[in-house]
Amino acid sequence: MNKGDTSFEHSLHLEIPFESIKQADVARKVLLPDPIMKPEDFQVTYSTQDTKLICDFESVDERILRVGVNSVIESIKTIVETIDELC
Amino acid sequence: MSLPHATYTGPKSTHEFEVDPSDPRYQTTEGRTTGASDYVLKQGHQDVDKPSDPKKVDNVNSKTGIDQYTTLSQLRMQLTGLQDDINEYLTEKINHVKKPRNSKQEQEINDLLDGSEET
Amino acid sequence: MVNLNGIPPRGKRNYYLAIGLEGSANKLGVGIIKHPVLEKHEDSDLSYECDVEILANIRDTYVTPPGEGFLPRDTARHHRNWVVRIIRKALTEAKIDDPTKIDVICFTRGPGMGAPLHCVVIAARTLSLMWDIPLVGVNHCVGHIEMGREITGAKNPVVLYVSGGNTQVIAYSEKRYRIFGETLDIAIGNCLDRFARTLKIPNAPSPGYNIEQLAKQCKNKEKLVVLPYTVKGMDLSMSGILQYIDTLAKDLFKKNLKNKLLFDSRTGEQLVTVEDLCYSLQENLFAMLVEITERAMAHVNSNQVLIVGGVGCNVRLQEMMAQMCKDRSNGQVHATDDRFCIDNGVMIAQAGLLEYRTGHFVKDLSETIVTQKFRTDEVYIAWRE
Repeated sequence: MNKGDTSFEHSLHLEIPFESIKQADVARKVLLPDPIMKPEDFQVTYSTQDTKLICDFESVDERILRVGVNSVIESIKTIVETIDELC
Repeated sequence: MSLPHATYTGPKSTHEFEVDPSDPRYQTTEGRTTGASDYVLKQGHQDVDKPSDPKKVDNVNSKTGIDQYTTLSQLRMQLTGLQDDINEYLTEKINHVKKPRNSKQEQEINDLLDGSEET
Repeated sequence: MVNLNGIPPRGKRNYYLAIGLEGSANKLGVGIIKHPVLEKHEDSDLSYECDVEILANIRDTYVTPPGEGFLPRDTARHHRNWVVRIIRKALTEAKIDDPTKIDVICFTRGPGMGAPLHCVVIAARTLSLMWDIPLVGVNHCVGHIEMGREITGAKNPVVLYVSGGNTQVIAYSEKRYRIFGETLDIAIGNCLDRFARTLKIPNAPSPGYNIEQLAKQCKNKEKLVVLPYTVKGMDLSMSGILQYIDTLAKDLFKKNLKNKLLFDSRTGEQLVTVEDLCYSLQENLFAMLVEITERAMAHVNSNQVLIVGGVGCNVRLQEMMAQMCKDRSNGQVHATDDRFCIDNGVMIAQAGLLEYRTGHFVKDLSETIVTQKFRTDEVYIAWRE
């Protein structure tokens, strides 16, 4: 991934606080495998900071950014609901 | 527990998305921007597939009688409101700048939402 | 010979517990099963005799209004919003107080609709990591086959897999379910579902079921409406038939008196009803299926057929297939009821647990990326000789 790539004009930084380091790490691992869209148009980096999940999105375009961010947030909501109700 | 939040940075602007837990926008699991698609609603479809309700903590606060929700349920509701904020903000920006529709990007978006024919 | 007891169950139990998650089309299913540890499985070829106990089989179907099909976006939303509730319902019904005792979490990796499959796999991965339980990704078709084998006890039948998304004739050979014949364009269930939309009949409980009921009400069974018959060697094609019968239906609704097949050229009297069309369509399509199935049976010298997949619930199809089997040295047709023909989580658990018991499971989450295309013969059938 080219961090200094100027073609990614739009970015979004998202922080999600979990209850524990384990939960944040689980969320990161669950999200990691799936490609979202073409890497030349959209990229996302997942990391954790203590109990927080951090998602850094980059995109060439607002529309693609919205779609990609939405897709990931939907997955995060499922992860949160799964842990809440079943674990 | 701290709150979820986001920051958008674009070529012409930046925007902070903050969650206000006392605002009803962040107290529901039913997002405004994540309902059934317009297409099916127009066909008269009744939406029976809304997200599940937040989970209540067993001991109701006896003083106020108000239900307490689990931390993760609160997170889910806050995230739902935050998602709506992000969607509405970006949609406004998209509509504001009338760009010609890029068919290649359209296809990419449709592929993500509906799945493509490729493996 | 195969050893199915290589990996012992958790907690030194004498039985395995598996949960299966299915969401490749508009049905979201969660199943929980139990396999006892039996000595006979140590060195044998008995993967169709697991003595399975079904502890839970919960399913929720995303149903659209008449005349409409289900779109991936909304189907994904349905699965996403229901998956956790359905899993919880299954755990409650199976009376599992401590889910960390489950041996394996099985999920449909494909084939199917991408977005709906993905919603289910997110939940599967989360549970696997939180409960520390291994994952197995299952091929949807193999799930149908293994469920069919276990429920009917059919030892080595030719399998006819017929559903909304798939139409294949399959026979087992040397660790693979090999595809002997298949559709060259659309699946038979898709053909029936789309005709149901043309007729604007309800989609509940399923469009195919409603076509079947209309066909039963046909009063003109001796006078079939002639439709194109498109078997091509071992394969078959159905899009031409659909196009043709859609045109007939539309002419019928429009009262196009010029269509001599539908209306008497002198009196204008209606000669064909919607029930007649449904009946003729079924007879035609099912005859084609019987032909390609018989061809495969001749190739592998078998007189047994197992029908799996949603269209397998159709009683007329079972009848026609049974007649052909009987004429072939007194063979038999095997089929399951709608608990298992129609997509469900139990079949995923069954196929997944068999794979787990041979020592195969996910080592890295990159192996759990879902895929729309996943051919039946891509799976290594480690649990059969």
